[in-house]
Amino acid sequence: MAAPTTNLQQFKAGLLDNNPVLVQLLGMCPTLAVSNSVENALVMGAAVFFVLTMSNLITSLLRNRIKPHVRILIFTLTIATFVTIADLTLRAYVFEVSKKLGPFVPLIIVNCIIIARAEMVAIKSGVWRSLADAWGCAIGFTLALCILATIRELLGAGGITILRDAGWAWHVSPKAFEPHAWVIMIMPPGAFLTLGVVIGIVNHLRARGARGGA
Amino acid sequence: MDFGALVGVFLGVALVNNFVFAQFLGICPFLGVSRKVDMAFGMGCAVTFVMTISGVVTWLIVHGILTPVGARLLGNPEALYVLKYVIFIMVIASMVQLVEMYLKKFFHTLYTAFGVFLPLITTNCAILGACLLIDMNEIYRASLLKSAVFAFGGGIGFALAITIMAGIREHLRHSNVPKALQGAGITLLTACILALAFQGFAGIGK
Amino acid sequence: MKKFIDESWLVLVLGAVFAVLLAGAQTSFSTRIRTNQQRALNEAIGEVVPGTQRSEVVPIEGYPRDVFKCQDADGRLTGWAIDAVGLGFADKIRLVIGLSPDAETITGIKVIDNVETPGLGNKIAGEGEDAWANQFRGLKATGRVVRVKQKARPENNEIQAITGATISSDAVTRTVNEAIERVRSKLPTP
Repeated sequence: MAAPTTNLQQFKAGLLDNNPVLVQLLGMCPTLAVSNSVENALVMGAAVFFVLTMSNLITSLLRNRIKPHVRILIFTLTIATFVTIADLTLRAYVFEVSKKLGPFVPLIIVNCIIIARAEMVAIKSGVWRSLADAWGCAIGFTLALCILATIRELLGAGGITILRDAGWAWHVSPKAFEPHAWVIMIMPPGAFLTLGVVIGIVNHLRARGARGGA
Repeated sequence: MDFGALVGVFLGVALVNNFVFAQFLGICPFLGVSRKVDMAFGMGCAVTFVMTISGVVTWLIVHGILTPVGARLLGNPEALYVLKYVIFIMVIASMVQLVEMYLKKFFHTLYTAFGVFLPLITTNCAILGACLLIDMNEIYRASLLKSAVFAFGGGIGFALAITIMAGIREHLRHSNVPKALQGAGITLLTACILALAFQGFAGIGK
Repeated sequence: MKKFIDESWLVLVLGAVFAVLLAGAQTSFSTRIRTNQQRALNEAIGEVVPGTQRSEVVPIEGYPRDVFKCQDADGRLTGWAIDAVGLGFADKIRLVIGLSPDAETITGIKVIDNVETPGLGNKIAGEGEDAWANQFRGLKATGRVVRVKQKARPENNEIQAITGATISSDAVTRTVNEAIERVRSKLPTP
């Protein structure tokens, strides 16, 4: 597919055609771990959005001053700093969820998506282009995570519950299904299964699109 | 030293809470390097080596430097903990560099065999994950020996997972996998079955 | 030296800036985080020792975790709370045990941390009218709690295991027994 030329195209690319999880196959570890509930997926998505935005922004602003030899070091330093800030924020405001996310919030530091975007886009593009890319990829990541989480939580827990500890809970469930839930879906095998099937479907749709369209 | 407890830690992380099949760490290399058994085994060994050293070094830094310096200079032993993530990732990156230089000098064939995979170990979430898990767990934070066994066991568990997967994928090359599932798809579905199998290890702590 | 600075000045500057940023974030959030960490424990104490408004830690010789002396708003002793940890089916289980002021009866238990199998083992942390943990209320702390399976009517100090989650049920029972055994005789006389 043609390289995006406008900021809007860059944004949409990260969202769909070049979805970091389902197409580029990056960031699988958090995807598998955090997609066991929609609540976890959304909070993780928010954290990644924040870190990716700040990382791309700073990299882009400093792009003419970053010497090639030290660029990975600078990327890592920046990402680690903002992940720490994100982690502190989550622990302050959504403590229970942050405990469930466990090591995966600090693991955003080695999430290939963020370093890849810094290396491929932010270091060579202007601020707005970099931000468009960051937002597209972050929302694309969150979207992929939510799709998986919806499937897993609905089938695995019988319903979706969000924000139980912030005081208000939004709970959706086809009540009849709850006792028959397939618990395996919220456990590791269910994670692999769902991701494998969804990627298979995405590949199939893309192949059909390529044959039919272009 | 309670040898039984150490065996428990080792089996616990290598089998019951396997880094790949139960804790979702190291998935990217798991999917990427599991095509051939010899590559997979090599990657597993390299990861185990780096993981054990990184686990020990990060533990020593937290307990030998951050905590006492925080306590003495700032009155609060936990004051410098906010720098933990930055320090951890820097340590891991340096360890990988050192391993690379060491291999290049003394085991050159192994070095060329690994190619681009060695630097990739830095972004292997399993390594940072192991260091973080040690740091988050009260039992391991208290004992360097248990942390070292945990890190080593984690690496072995990863090596086990990736080698088994490579064995299966080598066989799969001769089967008819539907086009849409080739590559990541079928690997993940196989991982699902392996994860189910590894669930059987739960309760081994008894 | 000049080459070194030339190559890495940005790294050093960024390092310094980020360090300041992190210090700032740390100070802004640390109080909230500490409150959050305490909250789960405090809520559990309030649940297992009814009427508690305040609690303070009392050191117990030979027991590494916290034991709390619980009082109501007027300073009267409402009971004792023990923070206990045991190994469950999957990993550690953390719970709070409530004892009556005379330490003869268990006033309740609450599981505050567990990673047991969802839908089976994690019923030990279930809440509500017919929560599994409610069985512990009113049991005698002077003797061991015994876990039984499929008994129509559990009697004296017996509790019914969760069907399909015997190991998790056992873990909780064992943890409760061990903690009470280690703490009960060493509680300060009120």
